[in-house]
Amino acid sequence: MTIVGIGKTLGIAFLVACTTVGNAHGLETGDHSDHALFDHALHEKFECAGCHNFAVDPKTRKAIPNEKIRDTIFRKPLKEICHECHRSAEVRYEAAPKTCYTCHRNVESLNTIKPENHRNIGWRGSHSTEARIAGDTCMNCHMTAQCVKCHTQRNDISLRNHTRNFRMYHSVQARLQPHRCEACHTQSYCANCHLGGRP
Amino acid sequence: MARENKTTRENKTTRESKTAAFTIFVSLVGLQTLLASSSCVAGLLRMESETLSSLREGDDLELEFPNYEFLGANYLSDASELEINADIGVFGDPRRGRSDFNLYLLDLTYIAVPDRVVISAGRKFDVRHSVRSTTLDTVAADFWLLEKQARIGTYYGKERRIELNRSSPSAEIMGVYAQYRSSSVVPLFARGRFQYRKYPNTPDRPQYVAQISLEKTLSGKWSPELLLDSELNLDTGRLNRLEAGSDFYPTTDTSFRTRALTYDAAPEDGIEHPIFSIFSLGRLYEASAQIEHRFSPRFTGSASLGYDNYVLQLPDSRQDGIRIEADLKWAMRYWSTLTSFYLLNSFGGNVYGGRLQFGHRLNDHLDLTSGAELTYYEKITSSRRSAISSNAALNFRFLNRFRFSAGGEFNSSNIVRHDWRAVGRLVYLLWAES
Repeated sequence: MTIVGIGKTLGIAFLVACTTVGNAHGLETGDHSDHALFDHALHEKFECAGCHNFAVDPKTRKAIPNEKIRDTIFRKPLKEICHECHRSAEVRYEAAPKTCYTCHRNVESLNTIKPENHRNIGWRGSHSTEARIAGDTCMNCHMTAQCVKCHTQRNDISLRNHTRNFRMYHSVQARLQPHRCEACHTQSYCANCHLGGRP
Repeated sequence: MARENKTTRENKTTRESKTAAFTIFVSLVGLQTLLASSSCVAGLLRMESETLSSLREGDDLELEFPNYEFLGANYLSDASELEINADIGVFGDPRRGRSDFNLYLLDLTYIAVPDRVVISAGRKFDVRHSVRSTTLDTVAADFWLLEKQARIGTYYGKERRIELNRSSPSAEIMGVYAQYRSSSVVPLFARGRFQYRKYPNTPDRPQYVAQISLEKTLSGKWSPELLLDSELNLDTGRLNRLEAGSDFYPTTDTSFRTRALTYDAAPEDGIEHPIFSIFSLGRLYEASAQIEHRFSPRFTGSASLGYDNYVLQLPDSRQDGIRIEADLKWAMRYWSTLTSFYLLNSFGGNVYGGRLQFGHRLNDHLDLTSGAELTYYEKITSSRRSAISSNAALNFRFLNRFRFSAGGEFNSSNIVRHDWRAVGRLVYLLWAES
């Protein structure tokens, strides 16, 4: 209990300190809009015409009509202008960060770009195939601590993976799909209960 | 005397573990705070702390008070050249005098040569290198090729299986992989892995495993996504796993998923004997399908069907089973419900159940959640019983980053007739950038 108590107290204190200290050093923790974060200063080294329908006169620094204007800019949704660089495999764009949370810097913004298959009710129980094949693609939005939360962490309070009744009928489920338990459990977990321990 | 010495050693080990846990806990939080606040390492810090507490009676009808603290964090610099992951879990029950600590993640990834070479080290839950996602204490190097469309890598380390109240067993593991993603709106993704693993209890029989995976999205009607994953044990010639599947999207409101799988595992596979080998002595075959349709923006329905067949006893006694599930999800602006029905049939018996989850948003800072489940089961042991579980909680959101839940549960089963529990949960979620 002592380690938990000290840990919790210090943990919360440090986390709040992250906010306070970070604010003192320019760390933003305030509200974000649902749109992606955009740093114009960072992008000023590129041609204005890459995103805008004008060019900049190098002498007067004023906006002028762009002879090389690409009419495709007018037809593209805003996100496609960003994605042209940040989701492209072309070599000229290889330096542009590709992970989604580079720009989608809060949970609300990230939720708006959730892939279609994530909206399935059954996605949580059926994401294993995609994760096994292309698991690092998941890391564009997720952090591995989120994998650990379901697959590795153990607690008998939250009902994250199994309901409370599952304990009563898990023998039927285990004899139905004996291969599925191994996604998270080992025999030690079974032995812990079945040989007199705690769940 | 021997027992006293063993107890003394265990107490000393526990104290040393707690000291190490405390040190690591303080160090990693401090390190990430410094990194996040340093102007020379601009980036994104994501951190989640979850504290769980419950007051209840255990199976022996004695009061227990388990407490858990889970802290996970990820730091990524703006140019993605540096990434740090950390995750720990701490458990304590003052009523029972129990405690535990687990280090789930502590790894660092660094782009040594921009757009070319990545090195990483530490304890990670690996989804890229190893044949199956697992916890590794590892060092790895990855290389980008072909304008970053291809990636190859190699790794070496110890595979861990973190379980309750035991020192983590391990297996020596190393391997290589290669992956390729075509540059297309409908890309082809291909991956191959080779892995060598040596278990401490069978050092003379190392295991060699190869995996080949493919994923291809096709354009056109129904936008099908095709998946193929195979895993082969090279030293025994056994096909561990072969899975093929497809996802179809006939309309923007409908999705249809199919999977076919064959699976086999021997008792000597894995650091511990696989759970699979307890129930099956041979190859398993599985077929499943799921369909989901959004009837309206607020109402979604889903149904799934699965069939499994495996070897119960050698030489050829097989058993099969089915699983049927249906879900209805209704989400309004301030109300939401999820209703589920399930039916399981296997060699172990039959299960029939229903579940209802309910949510009500009272205001911007307060919402109410509740749920109930009724299950009736008939086991092969001739046991025929029912079980009820229910829960309710008030959830408070405050200071923009905190979420506190206070609630209770009532459960009834043949183990405990009246199981009352008080439950508390505090979550702190930080997304901070510099």
